[in-house]
Amino acid sequence: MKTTLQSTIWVLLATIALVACQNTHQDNTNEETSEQSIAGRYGDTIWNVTDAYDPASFNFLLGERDSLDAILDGEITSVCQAKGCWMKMDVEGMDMLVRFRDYGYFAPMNSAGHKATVKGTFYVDSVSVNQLKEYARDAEKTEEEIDAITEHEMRYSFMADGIVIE
Amino acid sequence: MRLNIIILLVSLSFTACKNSPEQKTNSAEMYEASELSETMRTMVDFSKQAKTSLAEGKHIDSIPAEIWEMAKATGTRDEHLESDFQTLAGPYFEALRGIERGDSQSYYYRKSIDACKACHSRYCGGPMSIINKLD
Repeated sequence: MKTTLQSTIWVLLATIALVACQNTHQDNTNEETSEQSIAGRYGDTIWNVTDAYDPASFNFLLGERDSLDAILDGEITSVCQAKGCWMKMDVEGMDMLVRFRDYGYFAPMNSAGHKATVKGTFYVDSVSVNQLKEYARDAEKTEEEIDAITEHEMRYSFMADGIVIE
Repeated sequence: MRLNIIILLVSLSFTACKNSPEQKTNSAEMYEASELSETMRTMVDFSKQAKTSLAEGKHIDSIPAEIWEMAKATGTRDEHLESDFQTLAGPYFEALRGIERGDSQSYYYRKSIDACKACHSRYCGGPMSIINKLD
């Protein structure tokens, strides 16, 4: 009799545990579906990722120009941690600062390490000390690192109409 | 024996529950606009409308009330608490008061855009391309 009662209690406990477990999974699933994933298209994305220039074509087309409309792909190395309003990309070893046309959209702040393709205008730009300090603040650099910025820099820059993150 | 099997089953179900996907989702961490950003969006809308009105020879009739609260609105990095920010906000409000007085609205409108540029040269240069279009 005692054993039967114990067994019943254990079976009851097992059922409760399984039901609770299932509910938790369901809640998680609901949460996930309402969230936006990092991989996706941001800004103007009426273009094909497959049209990205290979490095040789890009260099050939850029030639002596100071700017070029292009589609480039690479890896996101860092993103503005204040808003996601700029990101840095490694494009075939080139450190490129990407900003978003007309401040019209932002990138996910946790997208560093993802592959991305950007469409827009490539140019070489002089970045002022003020702007460099602002970027350093956005990237959560220390006050010491920010204070150490005293000279403007020439940067490979990109004004992106849209980005596709994988 | 039967009891042992049940105990084993219960333990397994608890373990399975614990090991269930705490899957760090790949969900995007997107920026949520601060109070100050929202106010600045209102400022841009107001300026776009003001620019159009002035170009058509019309009068700017009113200024949205929340714009007057701009210097108190909480910024993403608490810029509103910095003295530089408060100093740079001054000329913008002065220009708005000029617009509100009703004479030389074009002049004061341009002053308001100059004030935006001055502030965004110091703080957050991102929106500069939008401001330039308001000139």
